[in-house]
Amino acid sequence: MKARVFGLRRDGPRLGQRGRVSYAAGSALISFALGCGGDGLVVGEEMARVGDVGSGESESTAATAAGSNAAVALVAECPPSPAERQALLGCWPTRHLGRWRGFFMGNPSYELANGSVRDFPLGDLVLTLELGGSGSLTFGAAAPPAPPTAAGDAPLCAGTLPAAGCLGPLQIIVGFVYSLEQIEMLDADVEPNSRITGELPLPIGERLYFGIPLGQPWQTDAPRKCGAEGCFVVGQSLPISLTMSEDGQALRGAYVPLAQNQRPGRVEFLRESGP
Amino acid sequence: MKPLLLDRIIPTLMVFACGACDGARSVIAEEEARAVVEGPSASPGAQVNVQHECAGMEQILATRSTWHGSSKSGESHVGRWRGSLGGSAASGFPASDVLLILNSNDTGTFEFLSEAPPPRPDDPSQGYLCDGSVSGGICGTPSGFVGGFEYELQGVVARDRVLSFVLLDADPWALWCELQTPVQRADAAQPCGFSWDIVPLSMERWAATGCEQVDAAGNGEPIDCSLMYALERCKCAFDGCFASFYSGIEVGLSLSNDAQELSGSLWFKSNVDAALLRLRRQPP
Repeated sequence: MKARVFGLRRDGPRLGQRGRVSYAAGSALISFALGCGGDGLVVGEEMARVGDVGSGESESTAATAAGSNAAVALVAECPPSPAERQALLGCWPTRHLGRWRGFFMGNPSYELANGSVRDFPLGDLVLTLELGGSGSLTFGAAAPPAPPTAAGDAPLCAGTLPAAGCLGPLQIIVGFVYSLEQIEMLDADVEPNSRITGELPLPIGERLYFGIPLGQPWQTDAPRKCGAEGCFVVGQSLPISLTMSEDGQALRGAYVPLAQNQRPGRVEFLRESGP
Repeated sequence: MKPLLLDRIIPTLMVFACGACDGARSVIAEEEARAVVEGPSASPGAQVNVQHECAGMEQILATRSTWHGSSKSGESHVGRWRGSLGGSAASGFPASDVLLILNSNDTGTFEFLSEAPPPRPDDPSQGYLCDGSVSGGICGTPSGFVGGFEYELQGVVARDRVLSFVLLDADPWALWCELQTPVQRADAAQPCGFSWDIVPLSMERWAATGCEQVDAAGNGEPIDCSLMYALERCKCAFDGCFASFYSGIEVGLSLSNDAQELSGSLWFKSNVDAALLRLRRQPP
């Protein structure tokens, strides 16, 4: 399956080419039941048997989630979508899951839909990837803004009118827990080409892609003070691309702006807990 | 033949062909100040001053200090920091003990505290700090770092609690690169019609039995693997060669609340793997 793209080039896992097996695959073997009900057949690489992968609560929950599903995939065929992974034995859970704390390096900035550029907020980033396949990201340690409760109580654009050009939705809100969109989780792999002819291609750790929907703080069922004309940037999402270290304790990557004259915002995380 | 080879060779062949059409020839005087060439980008008979038209080492190296961004750090990170690498990837680095020194003028060094600094190079024809391993070349260590070498910090930035900087992975080869002799080739993309490389244009090929440089005609010339990989760390101008500063390994470290610890991860070149890094502030 080809991974979807939001401004970054990437390829999904490829059949028959894999540097390292995923956490989900582990080192367990799975018997691949033939459709005719005959003897089990081990196909290709090692496959995880749900319930055999590691230990702990997450695995048992995963077994429950996938227990009624008979679909089995070769590890190299695991799709990037968390939802699709959960439906395939051996593809879930991945090592991406857990709670990560990180920061941007250098002087990172992001590009808005109108072409202007803003600095990423100061402070730690907290990235959480749940067993259910969802994820969230929070910028900074400040308390999130209170959700609006009435038409006159839109905290993010307080005191502004649409005609005044509320800039709230155009920027990241510190403390807001962003629900990530377009999450994709890829297993470890190897580079498609070797750097020098004859060399083994470089390994690539597990990868994680997601988008940060900038307009999400305003996407509430409560009445909004700021109208679309002045506040909303529909669909703008900041793409983040990350690669995991072999021991699963660090993630590193970048926000890569579409504008070629802007430097990527380099970011890294250390694992706090999980998967 | 791989596309990569074609990508490199075809434009060169076109340049050569173009040069042949107008009868261009090249002459490089020994004294660089008076070096004069007649290149393919010049009209027939025109004289092109190489030193004026093509950037020399001094001009190129002047961009080194800002290539990875201008340095600007705050006082909170200034000091002498010592610590160690942890995790399974630590074995891919030259040593687990490291020393970071950040000065108040935004300069500093980073060093893996191994037993001895790298030997001083004296022979440009012999490889330096590189080796051909079972799967390809390794320079320094699998991480790309060299032990006992003081890496000069580049692009130092302190933003809130985060200190970030870039380590130039080719820096340990600087003295060795300076021993190399530039190799000239026609290059229509350059103002003077030429560029200078560390080796004649070729494709590198690794094999367990040895390394080769393959020219445009597909002829392979054996080369010591150690030499081949070391040469990759060098760039040249018309007046000399130097360690490449275009690629680096970015490091990010977060300061603890009590300002006594820096923590983060240290990644291999090409982000292949990483080890956890914790540094404690040392007494002044």
